[in-house]
Amino acid sequence: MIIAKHQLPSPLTGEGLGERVFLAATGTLTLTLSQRERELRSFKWASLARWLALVLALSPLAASALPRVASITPCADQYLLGLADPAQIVAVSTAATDPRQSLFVDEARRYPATRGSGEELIALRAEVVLTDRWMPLRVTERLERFGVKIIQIPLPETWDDIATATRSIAAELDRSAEGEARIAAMQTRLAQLAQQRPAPDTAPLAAYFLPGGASAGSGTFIDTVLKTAGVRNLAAELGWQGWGTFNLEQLTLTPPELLVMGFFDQGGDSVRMSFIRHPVFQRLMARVPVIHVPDRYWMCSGWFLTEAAAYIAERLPKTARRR
Amino acid sequence: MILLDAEQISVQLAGQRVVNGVSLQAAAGQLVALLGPNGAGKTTLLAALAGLRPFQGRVRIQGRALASLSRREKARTLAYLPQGQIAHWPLTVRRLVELGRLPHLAPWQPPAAADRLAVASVLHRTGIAELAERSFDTLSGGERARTLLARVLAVEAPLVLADEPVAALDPFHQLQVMELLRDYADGGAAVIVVLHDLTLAARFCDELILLREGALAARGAPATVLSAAQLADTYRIAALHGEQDGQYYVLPWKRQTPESAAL
Amino acid sequence: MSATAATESMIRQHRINLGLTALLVGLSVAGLLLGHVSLSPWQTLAQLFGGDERLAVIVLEIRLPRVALGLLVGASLGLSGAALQGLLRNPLAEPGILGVSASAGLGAVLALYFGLAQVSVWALPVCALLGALLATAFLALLALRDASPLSLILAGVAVSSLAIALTSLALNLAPNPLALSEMVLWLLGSLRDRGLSDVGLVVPFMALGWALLLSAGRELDALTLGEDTARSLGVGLGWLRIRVIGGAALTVGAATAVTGSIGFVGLIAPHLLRPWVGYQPSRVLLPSLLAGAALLAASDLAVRLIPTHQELMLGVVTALLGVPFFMHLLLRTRRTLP
Repeated sequence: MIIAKHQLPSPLTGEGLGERVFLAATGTLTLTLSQRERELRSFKWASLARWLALVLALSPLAASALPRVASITPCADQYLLGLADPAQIVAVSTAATDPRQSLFVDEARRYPATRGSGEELIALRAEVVLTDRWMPLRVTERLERFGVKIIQIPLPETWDDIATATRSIAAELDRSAEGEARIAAMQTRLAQLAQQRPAPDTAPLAAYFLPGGASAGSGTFIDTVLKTAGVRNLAAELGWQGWGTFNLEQLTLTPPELLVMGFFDQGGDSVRMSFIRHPVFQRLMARVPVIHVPDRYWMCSGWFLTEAAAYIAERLPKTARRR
Repeated sequence: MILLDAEQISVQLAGQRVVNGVSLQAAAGQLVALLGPNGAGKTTLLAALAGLRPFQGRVRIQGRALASLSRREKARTLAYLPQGQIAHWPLTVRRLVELGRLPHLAPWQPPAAADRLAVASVLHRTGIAELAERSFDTLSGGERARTLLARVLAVEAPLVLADEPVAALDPFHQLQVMELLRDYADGGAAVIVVLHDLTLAARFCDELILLREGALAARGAPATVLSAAQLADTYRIAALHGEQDGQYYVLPWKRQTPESAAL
Repeated sequence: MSATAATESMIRQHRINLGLTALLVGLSVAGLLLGHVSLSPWQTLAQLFGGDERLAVIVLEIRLPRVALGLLVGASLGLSGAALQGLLRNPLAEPGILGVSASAGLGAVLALYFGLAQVSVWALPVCALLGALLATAFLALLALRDASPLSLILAGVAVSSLAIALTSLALNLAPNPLALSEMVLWLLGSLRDRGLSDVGLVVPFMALGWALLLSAGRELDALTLGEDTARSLGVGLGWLRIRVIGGAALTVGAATAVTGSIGFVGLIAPHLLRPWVGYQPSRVLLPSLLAGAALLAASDLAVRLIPTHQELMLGVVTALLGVPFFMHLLLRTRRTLP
């Protein structure tokens, strides 16, 4: 449930290989030369139109031709699918169609999936590649020689950082207006959530857990989301900076009032789950309210984290909510 | 009394017949030597008699078939001393010799007084009592040989099979070991020994069994078996012989090459 | 004279066992008292008499299973190392080096990540056991043909590498996408967050395994003089091999199923004790069990107390101790080889 999605312009279904010239004025006006061709009856006008297109393509305005972009990691997918014009997306990662990891599953199905290897990217004639995975210098250099630009998505930890990141990525995609729209939507949502938030002194003490007992302290986007949702973060209150792993003993001494769990959609058994399976933790789970946030809401850090915060805020125990 | 009766023993190793239809007997009080050139099958035969190699033929121990004896009965009746001086861990002499009492020990019981007595007696007889607490790897070759022999004697079995117990020993210790074996046989046991040394065999043993290429070449008293013809045939040597103190001795003297044989 | 010598060594043996047991008790107590939250002895006593409930939970439900499991696993590794060394007549033989632990880990991974563990809670230790059994049987077969220390170690390296590769492949194919990042847990072992149910899972297998291994003492002694002599002394070699291999597989399999593969304990413990018991295989078994338990308990204590951001893997500590030890052993054995 992403409110921002509904504000996206409806995508145009154009041909893939036809020559197109896009004039991105407000992001909503498009022209396809092939359509124009059909409307024009005279050959003369057709050739004039072609000549015009060529001039435009070669002119400085051509710099505004939207770059062909591919994303090769789940988080990059979200940014690409959320900001880019459908016509400029050449490929998304294989995780983009996984409902457990992606918020744009339906949109993602339209595009080819790539594993992100250099060959595939070059074959796709991608001009920009979005990723949040570290690439070795050799690979980036090689790709750049082929005219592919690698954009590393940062990991923003606060809403301001998210806004900055969104802006810069949107600029790379030549979709700054879209970026601003997303940011504006995010801020509207944040304002809504701020109103719903319980007073700081009644905010419940929550602890966020991954199956192995890992948790996030202050300075992480998890912490930001928890605070926005209106709960206190146990890890932050214990003084943690960044990510860490909880100790069952610590948990026994300072139990939280609310459990927020992540990454439990992955299914199957695993040795890492011994933390969760331990009787002490099981008893805690039986005693306090538990909120399982679907992974796709906060696997990555971006404007869509507002939905994670909203998800939690909606499910807070009634006593904590402000009327 | 015949303690060991072997009939038509044949042993195959890796598809080859190493021992071919050998029959022999050992009676109580007898020290029997198994002789033969290298590769004649002596070690294999001895191991087969001890039930350690599969064989064709019949072996009877104290009148009973070898196969019919339980593992424990066999261990108490027959003691085996292999070639080489193998001890994988450097145990003390006492502990090694105590291993010989294993066939007599009940599964979870510690050694009894009788066992300790047997060990002490055998340590004494073999003259290694003062080495009892030394570890095996600090011993000389002669001391090691005596330790392993003591282990065999500690079993107090009526039948002892020893494979080259005097190899790599100096003359003093060679004689000592042979004397120990002779004493043990004189006590009523049957002892079969694989030897290379013809002189020792002739002096100490009652009966010699000569093998050649896996088959029995001769059997009987030393003088008969170690005749000039037999030595030439089997060993390709000529030997001197004589008698001293009532003991027959043989001294390998000269190799027989084709030219010297013609002479 | 022989009587006193015998009783002397008996007394020494008892002293060694008692000393090790005392060490174990000390480490266990330390394990219960020390940890993330340090308790003083007074506080422990206080909670024993119905004090703070949280402390009771910490000590009894969090630390006690961990300490107990550490003792059981360490004991199993120490004992099976001593027994394998006796059977293979090789001081370098031990479940980690020979790849038995890695194979057990493979079995456990297959059970855990492919849903077998959901069928029955016993599927996990049984699969680990089968993995360990395959490796041990293969190595014993090899030792029959060529018992030189180096060839055995090489075979162990091969088995270990294969097991690790197959484990990695299995984790790659597992339906759980995070599985691959858990290789570390399987390769380096950990006692973290284990509960009493884990203890209950391993106890039956370990009890049987310990019985099989401890009963083999005398026959392992006989093997000192070689296989032929042992057989002539009445040892049933085939049955002995089955017992030692089976016992090692049971104990190492069960241990690996709950903690991942932990190496070198079975190497260090027997080796440290052998000189004290006159190198006799039967007399090294029980002390190795105790020393292995102590070694692992101490390593786990270190892991819990060393202030790293993420808790150290147990196998890291045992490897840091074990590898220099192993190199030293290897060099020494090579020098004494004919």
